[in-house]
Amino acid sequence: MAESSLLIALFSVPALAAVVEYVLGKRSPDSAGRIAILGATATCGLAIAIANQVLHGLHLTALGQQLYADGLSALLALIVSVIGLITTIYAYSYLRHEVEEGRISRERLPLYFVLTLVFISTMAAVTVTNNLIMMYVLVEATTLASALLVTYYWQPESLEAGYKYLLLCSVGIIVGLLGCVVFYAAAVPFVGGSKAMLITEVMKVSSRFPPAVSLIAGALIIIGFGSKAGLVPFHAWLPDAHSQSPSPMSALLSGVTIKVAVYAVVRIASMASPAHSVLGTYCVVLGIVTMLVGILCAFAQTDLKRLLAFHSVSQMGYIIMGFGIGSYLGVYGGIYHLLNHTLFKSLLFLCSGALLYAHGTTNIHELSGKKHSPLVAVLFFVGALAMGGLPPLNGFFSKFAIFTAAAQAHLWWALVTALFTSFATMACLVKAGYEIFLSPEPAALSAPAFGSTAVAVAGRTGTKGCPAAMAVAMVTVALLVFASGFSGGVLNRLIDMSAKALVIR
Amino acid sequence: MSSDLIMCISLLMIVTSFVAMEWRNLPGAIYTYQVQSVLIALLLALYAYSLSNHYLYVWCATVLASKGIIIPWLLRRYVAKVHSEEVPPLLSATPSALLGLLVALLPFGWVFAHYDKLVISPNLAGEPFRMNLAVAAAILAIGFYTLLTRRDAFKVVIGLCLMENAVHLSLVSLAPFIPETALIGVVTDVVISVWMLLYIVAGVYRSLGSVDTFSLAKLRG
Repeated sequence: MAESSLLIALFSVPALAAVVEYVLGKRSPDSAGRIAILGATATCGLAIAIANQVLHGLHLTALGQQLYADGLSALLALIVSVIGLITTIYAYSYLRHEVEEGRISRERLPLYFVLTLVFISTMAAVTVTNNLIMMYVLVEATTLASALLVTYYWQPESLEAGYKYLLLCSVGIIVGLLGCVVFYAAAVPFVGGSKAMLITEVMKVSSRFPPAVSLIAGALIIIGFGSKAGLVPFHAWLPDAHSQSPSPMSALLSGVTIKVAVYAVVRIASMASPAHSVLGTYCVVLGIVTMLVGILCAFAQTDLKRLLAFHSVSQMGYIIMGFGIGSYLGVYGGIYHLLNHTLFKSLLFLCSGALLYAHGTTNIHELSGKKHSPLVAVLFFVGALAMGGLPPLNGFFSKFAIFTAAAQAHLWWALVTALFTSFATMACLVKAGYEIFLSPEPAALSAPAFGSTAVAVAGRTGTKGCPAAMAVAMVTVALLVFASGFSGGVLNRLIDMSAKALVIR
Repeated sequence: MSSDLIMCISLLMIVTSFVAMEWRNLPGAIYTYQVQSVLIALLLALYAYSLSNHYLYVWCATVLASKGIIIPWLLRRYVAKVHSEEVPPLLSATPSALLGLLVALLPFGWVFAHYDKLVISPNLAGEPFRMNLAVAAAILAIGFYTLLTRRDAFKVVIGLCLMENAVHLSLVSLAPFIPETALIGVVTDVVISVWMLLYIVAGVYRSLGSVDTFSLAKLRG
């Protein structure tokens, strides 16, 4: 344990940047985004500093233990800040293009960056809070900060998406609050009123809770915060919200926000250790149902962003299944897949944004046969193959860990379903990628099939390529996809620490 | 002793939930919601007095300010821009009320019977805490039922508000000594979420000319 003001800075820096961005944005909308990039960079630095200290074996606390960071917090803080920074850089160019196209007015530009900073700040706060009730307050705050980003275009579809998002998540999180309060009430007799609010303190006595209390509170938490993580049956908001928001926001929502919700689930529900086997089985079943519903709906989509959003639902199933298995390997796989999904899903959404940028549509049929930038095509396939679980890419390793854990736990039905979903994911994404990038143009149908398509792809630069900022953002995420697959190193140690902390208590 | 009064108010709270759910006239439903919020504040004051717990007075004040004044005011402001008569719900009044009664009775009975297993703290055992938590469970169920079966977006928001009232009420039995900072955080979230929902619903009305949540789904074509 070590006091560290880094934890306070982690969420106050982006919050302060939001204020500055707002003031400057009022004065000159053209400068919008510059402060946001600065603020997000600073947040990134802070997260790296926190991760560095945690890797040296320290557990950081601040404000009299109201804030706390261990391996899992550090990993999530990294995810939030890195993807936050990358999407902000991407948005800087992307939204200016939207202004030129007339989709949004110039005056609305600063709003995006102000809300993004608030959003990053609230998510960063979720990762380091140690207070049961504040966990509810902050998770709800992430919903509030992002709702106006989902409705950013203020079109009928985006309004519907925002309405569903705000309503379903608010209802779900209220149920989660009830779960938090039940845990708090159970902890009061053991640790006293003032400490019963602290997650770390409740954790110490949670094995003495009556099983009924643990079971009910754990279930309320999984259902409640799970709705924000896109778990069935409250996943209906996710495809709408993730497809209607501006593309960099889709990447942030799909890549990071649902992970932060999973973090809240895992942090609090792991208190329910006396009822673990029942809740664990429940999580595995929930994971299986979620992945099947997600993948089946994904096949029916013709819009690339909706398709990707349904894949997010499906992939959340793997993560929750990993945690449900509960063994070290299962939890390790869950956390690892959480990280990997963040990376490849952000990459895919950024690619879909680049397609929207170049062609003004994300409809797969309309995109098919158009000229595409080869860079976007390659990056899309990197993301798609990683999500499908093609060996040297990161998705393979995390899924393999979850599959092995399922086999060790003799959950054969879960293993078979998960394997099936994995192949279906690969098929669905490769099909979409083929239709968009490789299917021959109607005019060039007579040309020999495969060899020429590569040439055709390389030659398709007639349309607007994407600006440097967007390309840099996408390439960085792609490099991270490779890095998280190939190198064990730092990330592996963080995941290992978090998995051990969750399993061995 | 004030326990009779507490019982009385608890039951009134269930009645107001039903009225808020079934009253087709939206200003009427909002008024009923407001009455319920004031009743919760009153109940909190009674608890504070009979248990001599000064935390609950602060709590009473925050509930009165947020749910008794601000949220009803917001609801009224936005409803006035649209319409006063609800879009007809899925079920007509009588079957809906009967089903609602069933939906409310089940959690009420379950919590009432299993209270001892849920709340282990010895100084929160027995009445009036048991009745209180059971009532909260019933209102939570009614709110959720409202949310699922109403077509009017404003009614759905009122359903959400009922659920929030229920959770607030349950805190009396589960966490009467909760620190003010956490409470203020919760209340702020609730007010902002309702406000933003209404803001978006008003946007939906402006672009579609309707607040029927079922027509929203059709729009996707």
